[in-house]
Amino acid sequence: MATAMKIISPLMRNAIAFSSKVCILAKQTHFKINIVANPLRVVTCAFHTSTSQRGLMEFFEEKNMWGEDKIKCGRPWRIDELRLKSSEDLHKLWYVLLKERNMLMTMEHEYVRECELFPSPERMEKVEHSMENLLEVIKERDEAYNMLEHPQTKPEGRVVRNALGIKYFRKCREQAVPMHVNKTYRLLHPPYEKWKGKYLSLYYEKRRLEKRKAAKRELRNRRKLQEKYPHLTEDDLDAAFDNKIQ
Amino acid sequence: MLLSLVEYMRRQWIENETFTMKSWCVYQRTTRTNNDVEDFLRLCSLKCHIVVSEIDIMRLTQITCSYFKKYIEREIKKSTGVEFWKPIQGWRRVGRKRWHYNEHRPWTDAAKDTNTIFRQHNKEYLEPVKEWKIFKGDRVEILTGKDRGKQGIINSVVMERNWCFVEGLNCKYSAINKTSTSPGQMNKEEKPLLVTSEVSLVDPSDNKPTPVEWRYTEEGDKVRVSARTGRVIPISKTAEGEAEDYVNAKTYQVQEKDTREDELKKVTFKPKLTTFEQDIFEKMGIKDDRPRAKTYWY
Repeated sequence: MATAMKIISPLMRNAIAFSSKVCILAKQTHFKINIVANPLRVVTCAFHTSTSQRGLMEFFEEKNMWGEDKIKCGRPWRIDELRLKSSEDLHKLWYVLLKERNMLMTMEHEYVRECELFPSPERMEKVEHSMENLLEVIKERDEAYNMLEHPQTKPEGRVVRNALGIKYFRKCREQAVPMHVNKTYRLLHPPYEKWKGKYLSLYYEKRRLEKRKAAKRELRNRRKLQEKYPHLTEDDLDAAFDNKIQ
Repeated sequence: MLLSLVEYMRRQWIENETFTMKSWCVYQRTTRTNNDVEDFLRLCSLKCHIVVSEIDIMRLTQITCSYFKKYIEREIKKSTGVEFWKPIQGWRRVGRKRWHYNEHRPWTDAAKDTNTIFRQHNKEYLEPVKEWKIFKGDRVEILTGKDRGKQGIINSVVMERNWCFVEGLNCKYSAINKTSTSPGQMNKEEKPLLVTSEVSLVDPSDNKPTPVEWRYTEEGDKVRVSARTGRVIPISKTAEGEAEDYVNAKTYQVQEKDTREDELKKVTFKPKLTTFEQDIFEKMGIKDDRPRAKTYWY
């Protein structure tokens, strides 16, 4: 990077000189701008690594696609396929996907502004899905390295009380500072006080009633299903309600 | 006639003692209609039903990549309600709780129209199906209705309702633009049939309906087998290659932005004892010798 900057910096200086010249020339005669502006483009190219360079128009779809009903594209990257790629490739792919997502967001905004339907909106989910998969692969690799080089005991989680005194299971996370220094953690998990007990008992009662209601609802659904389809056995109904088919 | 109307208006509205001018005149007022009241009542009625937490878990065809499920969930959430941020409670949602599935797919406008807040639908009690056996492109025989005994090919399947549509059969005819002078136009519409009881697969050896089972061949493939004769009933080619997003991988043409298959399968990963960041640093020539800081898990 440093060496690249060394090469670029004299060019940059030229570019600045050129750009100031352009301003002066533009005031005098505006047909000369095109001739002088060419070296500027050469300089900015040095920052790019992608093959297509369309400037700000990269935020938009290609012109021949504008106003079409449907735009075809392939499926998202699967996690197995991403596992084959080196970290350099993943790094590049991340920026390809990011650019694509930016493009889709601008296009969606533009279509909404023009009061038209955005073609193939599922492309956004495709890009997001592959981005999630990519992050997961990186996480896997980093975890494997950490397990080898910096073995650490990672507790899974524990039951804690939140600011209202309600108990819940908190998953352990990696933190930069210990618990007694962490300000946000201490704010969210203050010590339990006695006066909260009165409200907690009311809260737990409400939760119990909700659970009972849900159980009753399930029983009612079960009876209706049995009424409608008398040939169903108990096992069929159990399987149906366990898998939440209904 | 007109004079009497004017007289009535004057007597009833302007010179009345019970209804004074102030009570109904909207001059120089912000609220001129009762829309606000209606909106308030609507919100009240929604809040009585308790705010929605999750949309019912959906059953889709073959799940090859889960992006499409997420897309449908998003479309359903967008069209059924609104999400808003409340200071202490966090993200809250007001809207319809249950999605009513019908012959239209959830992301189409026709399906969204049937699921507006003002439409009421009764809950459907579906017969639970353990193993799905009927797919697009299968030859089936209809067991009920006026087309009983006729055979046809399946057009489309709606798994959320245990429905299938047979091409050109079990139709409803209706007249459009019918008046006393002209007969209008006839419209033909296929009606859904239940997969569990109203339709049966056809055995290819004798073209008669049979019950079907899933079994394994000696090569380990899962196939449908006729329980009566033991003949394999193959799945049609249209249903075989089609994923849940209705894209057939066999007929799909590679587009400009797609990754080529040889590039997709190329293995560039070499195992190394570095993290992702260290590897990228190495490639870009960035040096970072700082010792790793201690972290805490809680």
